[in-house]
Amino acid sequence: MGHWKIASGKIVGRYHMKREIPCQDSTYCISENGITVATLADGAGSCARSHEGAAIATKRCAQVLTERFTDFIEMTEQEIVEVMLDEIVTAIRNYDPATISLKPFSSTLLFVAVDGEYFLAGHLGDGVIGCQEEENHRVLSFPENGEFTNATFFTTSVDAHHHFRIYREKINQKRGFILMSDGSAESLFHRQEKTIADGAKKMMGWLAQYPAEVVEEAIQRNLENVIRDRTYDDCAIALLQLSLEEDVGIEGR
Amino acid sequence: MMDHFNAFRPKHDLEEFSLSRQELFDNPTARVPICLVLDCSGSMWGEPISELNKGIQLFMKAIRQDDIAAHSAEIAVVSFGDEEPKCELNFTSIGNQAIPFLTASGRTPMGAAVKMGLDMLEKRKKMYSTTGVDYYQPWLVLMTDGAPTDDITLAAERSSELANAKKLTVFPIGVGSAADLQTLAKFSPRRTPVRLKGLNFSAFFEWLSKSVIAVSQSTIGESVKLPEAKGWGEL
Repeated sequence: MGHWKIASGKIVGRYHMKREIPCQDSTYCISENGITVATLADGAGSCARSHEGAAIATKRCAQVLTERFTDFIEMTEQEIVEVMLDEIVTAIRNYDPATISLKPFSSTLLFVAVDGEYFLAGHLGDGVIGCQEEENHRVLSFPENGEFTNATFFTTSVDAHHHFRIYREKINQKRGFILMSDGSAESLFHRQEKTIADGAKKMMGWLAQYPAEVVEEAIQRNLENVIRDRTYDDCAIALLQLSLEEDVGIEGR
Repeated sequence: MMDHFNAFRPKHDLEEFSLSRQELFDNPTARVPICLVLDCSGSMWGEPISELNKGIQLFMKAIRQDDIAAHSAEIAVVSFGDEEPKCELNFTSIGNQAIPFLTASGRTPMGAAVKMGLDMLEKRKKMYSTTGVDYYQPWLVLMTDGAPTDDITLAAERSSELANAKKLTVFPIGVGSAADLQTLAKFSPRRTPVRLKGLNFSAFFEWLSKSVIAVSQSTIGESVKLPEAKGWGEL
């Protein structure tokens, strides 16, 4: 049995570059307490501090997962959602106690966490979570938009509880997961056929085979040189992959 | 950042860690469907129809010249004059569309024209859904210089319901002093009708093209602020 590895990358999109707006996508990967976690969030376009909101959401979500993974395996899905959203709201309030409205910090949220036996994934809003089972890749969680392309659901939405999807199963034959923001999904997810691109499978394969540091640099290069040119949006990717190498302990970034 | 990568390069070169176009998908650009429903009744004859044609030309050229909007905006034109409305331009990629030349004659079947525009928008949305194309909230621009000569009740109700549900943005525009703004308001509960200043169609369509460009560039969660309506309208 190998071990779980994590790697991620993000870039500011061409539209935000032109308007000198910071990248509103955020990723956070961590291995602690025997739990390996990858999280990703996409800040809401017109919210001034959504890049901060995305960073807070990814970090706090990852921390909570490493602290309470065992509890989450026992809880109902509704309870997991409530805990996660409460933790994120509390983290925003701690970050800026003076803030009155949470709306400026709005973001989507995607996460996957694994221990040796189970995986737990969550998804609020757009973006895509894909997974690898043995040699097959499929979409685990699809984007949820409203009818129109520029609408989705955020951590601060009043109906966030109803749209936060939770996936929890034994790992069994699962070997890897990929989280992508909607900007990356433009290249890595086929909207009509609802499939994952070979490029996504290739990146997951890199992480199975090579050190996380090398794969992170490769992700960053490909985001900058290939994927950014195919969308105007910010792009982020986070990978969580079972290593093909011998089990030498958790390797994380 | 380079160190890790370069340290690995003796065994694993850059090519091994590069994605090619063939390994990525080309999803279609999200579309902004816009239906122009334009009064071409007899009273528009002469300078008004001439200025309207110039405005449409300017609008389509401006959209074509913008990299993003050229791939996003899809335009249809319904004219209403004579006895029945006419589809002058159906939705397709703007690069493949010939700019229509409108002529003025006949009556003002506004209700039937709005119904035709809404039907065309609905059909286009269905096509987007079945082919996996994302889309923005559709727009309907309704322009008239007079009052309807047919029953507008059903069309106005349908348009209003969509607008109230935030499924349609309606831009009601009156041309000249005879334009019945109260009737126009029945189609648009969320946007007050605006009377065009003189025959300043060009300024209106310039504003409309800028607005389309702003929407086509918007990202998830972004509420789009349309440019100020300077120079073409008066309440």
